[in-house]
Amino acid sequence: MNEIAAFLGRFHPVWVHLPIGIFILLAALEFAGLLARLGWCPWLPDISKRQRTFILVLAAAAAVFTAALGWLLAGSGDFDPALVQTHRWLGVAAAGGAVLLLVVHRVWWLYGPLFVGCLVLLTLAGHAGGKITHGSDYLTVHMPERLKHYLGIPIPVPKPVPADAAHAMAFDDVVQPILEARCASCHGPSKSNGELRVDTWELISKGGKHGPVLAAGKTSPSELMRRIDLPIDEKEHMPPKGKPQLAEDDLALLEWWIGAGAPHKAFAGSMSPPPAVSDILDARFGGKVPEVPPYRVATLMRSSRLAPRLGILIRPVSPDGPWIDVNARVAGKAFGNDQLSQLVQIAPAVTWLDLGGTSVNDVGLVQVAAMHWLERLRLDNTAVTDAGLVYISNLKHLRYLNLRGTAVTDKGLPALCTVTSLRALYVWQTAVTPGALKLLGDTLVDKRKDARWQAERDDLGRLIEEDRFMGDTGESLRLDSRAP
Amino acid sequence: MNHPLDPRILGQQQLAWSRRTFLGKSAQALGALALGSLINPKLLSGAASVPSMADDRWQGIISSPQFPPKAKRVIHLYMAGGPSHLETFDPKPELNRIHGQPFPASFTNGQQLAQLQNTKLLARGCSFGFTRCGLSGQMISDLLPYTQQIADDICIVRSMHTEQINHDPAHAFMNAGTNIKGRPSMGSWLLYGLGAETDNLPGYVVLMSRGPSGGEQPVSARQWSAGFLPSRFQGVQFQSTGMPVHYVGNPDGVCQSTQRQVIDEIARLNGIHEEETLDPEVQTRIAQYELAFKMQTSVPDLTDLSSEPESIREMYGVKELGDGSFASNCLVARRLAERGVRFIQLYHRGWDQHGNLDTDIKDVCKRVDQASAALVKDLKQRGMLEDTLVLWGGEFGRTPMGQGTGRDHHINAFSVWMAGGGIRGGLTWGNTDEMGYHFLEDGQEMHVHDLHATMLASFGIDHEKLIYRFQGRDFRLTDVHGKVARGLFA
Repeated sequence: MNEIAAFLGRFHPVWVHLPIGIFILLAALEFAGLLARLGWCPWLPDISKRQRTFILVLAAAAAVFTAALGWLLAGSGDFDPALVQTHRWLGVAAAGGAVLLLVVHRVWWLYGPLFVGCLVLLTLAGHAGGKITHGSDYLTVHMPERLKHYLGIPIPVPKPVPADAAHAMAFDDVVQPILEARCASCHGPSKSNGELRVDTWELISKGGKHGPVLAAGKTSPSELMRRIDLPIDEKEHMPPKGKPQLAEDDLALLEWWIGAGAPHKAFAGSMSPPPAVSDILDARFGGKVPEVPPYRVATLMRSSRLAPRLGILIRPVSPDGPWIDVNARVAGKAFGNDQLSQLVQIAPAVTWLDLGGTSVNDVGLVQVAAMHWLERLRLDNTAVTDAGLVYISNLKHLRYLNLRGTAVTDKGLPALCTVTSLRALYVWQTAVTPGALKLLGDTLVDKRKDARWQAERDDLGRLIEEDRFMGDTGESLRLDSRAP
Repeated sequence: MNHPLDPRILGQQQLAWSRRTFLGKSAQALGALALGSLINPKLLSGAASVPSMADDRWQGIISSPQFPPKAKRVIHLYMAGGPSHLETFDPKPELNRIHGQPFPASFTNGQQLAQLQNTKLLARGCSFGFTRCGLSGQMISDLLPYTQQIADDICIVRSMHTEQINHDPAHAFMNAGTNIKGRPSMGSWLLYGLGAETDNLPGYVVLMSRGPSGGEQPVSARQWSAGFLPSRFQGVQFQSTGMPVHYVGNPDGVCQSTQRQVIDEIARLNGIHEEETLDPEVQTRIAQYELAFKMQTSVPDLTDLSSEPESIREMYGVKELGDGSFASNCLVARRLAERGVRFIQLYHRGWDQHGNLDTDIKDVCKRVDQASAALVKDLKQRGMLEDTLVLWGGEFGRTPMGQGTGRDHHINAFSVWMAGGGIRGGLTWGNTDEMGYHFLEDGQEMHVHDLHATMLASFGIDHEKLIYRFQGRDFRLTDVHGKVARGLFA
């Protein structure tokens, strides 16, 4: 029986549109009839008494049937009880109103007000239902701020994004978003099952009905972690079976935070996270520009708008990826730091960047630091100095760097030691000395190429050995007689 | 007068398009328009953006490469006349051994010969030594001491072969992949496919030099023609002596702003003419005026070699700047490359040694060796060798059989070298038989079509996809041939 009830109940969200539709159609017909009768728009159709009765019978039947289905669905208990309660009684009232309207519709002075009342009830019930399925801020979340202001809806303050992993706040930036996404729908402001709320640090450290959940720093696991770690089929497992579960990374972060004493105001960097955790933190807060490669079409569209405006050339360098080659050399001195900063939108896609001969200087290189996938960088004949090389030092894929004709000196080179991918460095016409380059010696060696060269050298050794036995290669041959 | 329904214009279109073409074009155009406007919103913004060549840089029809590109420009050191591979990059001890004896008939039976037809074929050895050079141990003739120094940067291809045995058709074959007239040269194809990285200079520049002795074969301007491609893609020959472009300065009393007004007015008049005749060549004319105007500033800057330090001039062996020597041209070529020119071709004539081989080849090697090597070294120290493909070679090779004191034309084997643009330095690619007569079919043979395909591949272009439809047929630089030598790439 329960099964059948649950089965039928699921049809409530489908059927619910029928009575609403009928009522709206009736309202439209009545309005048109009113205008026709008053002589304002005589060409509009008037509604007959029989038609009105017929439509009302259909509307009342549909409303009652829908309300019954809704009752069954509410019984299955998957929803926030408070919201369900409101919706249930509003729905029943609307269905009752429809039946009452059918009964009294011949009494003309009662019909009008009651019909309007029914429409209002229907709207309220529908909205309450929508709140259950879509969430309470579904309609307003994308509302323009000005409109929100007039309607008195609170405008959410955007959270400041931390500059990097070390400056992320342990609770506000790391833990709270996880709890918000996975737990707060049942343990938050709209619903607090087990009298536990996790949306603020104060509330989660207070605990729930059964006591504190963050038994921080003790040998036994905290209640929070114990519940999460239980097998998914256990009744006490959280989040409940069927709800979205916590990801591995989320778990590691929670465990680390609770283990460190569940601090409220502390920078993640100051809590000396173990390598595994700092990897996850880096992935989440690495920098402002995501390391994930951007989409090809978006990149190319932006490029096609940027290139003519800045007087530069941008070409894709791969058949299907988003990677691009940005040639700012063609713009010459007209291209400077300001122009470079306009590339920020396509920065993650830049793999080759030619700034040679432009007026970009150290300050502008801040932008280059955000080009995580940069492979070739030409800075020849620019005003770049040692100070600017710091921004290049964390590029992980840089293979080619041209510093010819810049003011770079030996002092700047240590910054490049961290660029392990570097294979070609051009420092002709700079103050860099060969001695200082030795510092980079190991960095610049391509181990695989080196091995190949070694193998080829061995081959060559063999060849020369053979030549020696063959006798006559590598010497000049004096020709005594010229051919006729 | 320019109403789209003007009967004259309709008539023109009727002339230009058959019904079938019209239907086909309409269907394609809708799709292309939709895609185009998605990529470039300016496209549909109406009459305000009538493409004026002046500010619309040609960016090529290859919107996205088919392979990851390596090269961005080519410098082709064109050794016109047919350098002997046997004296430069292909040592043949066995040939030296049988010097003066009859050449084995098994090689030559039924083969095409130029001037040696119906003569007694005698083997001719090489009078010069070869040395293993660099870490790679490539064999390079002692005639080329400077090239020996860059052995580890260059890849010597010994298995080149072509189909044309006389100079002019062979030049055409090397440039356009066919000896038929009216086909675009490889520089034009590249420009059509990729555009240039400059709009102040032509995207395809040709320079010419020669030795002091007479008797060099002429090189006709059809070698850098754009063929059936729009003529804006053709090579532009610069003078190697004096100012590269004649009359580039303004006459007395004319300033740049007056000049600007003149050019604008001519462009407007040409624009009217173009709307009337629908002749795409008028567009080229407008673009050429604009380019010429820009070259009034860019060319003096290009040839102002005073900014080149003495050490650089010495490296190239330039005696006097702009003296028309190969060395001077090489220096200009590097400067062109720095300014974003896509294809630079330096012809050096004087390799056609039918007689006096030993003295003449010594002379011509001396004229090109130092500057060729200096160009590679200079590009390398500037960090430009990574994306500049240098190609050194001629249109064919020379026979292992002697022709008096020289050698005859030979198409079955010759050598070229390439450097930069992703090409693996220090590699010897392909080989010839023990007489240097025929390339070996060892999987490393390199027909001219294969060279073209490989060159396009270094630009990220699949040679089968760079197509131009002309008179109802799809044309490619490699026509229906061509195989990319993947092994050449590092």
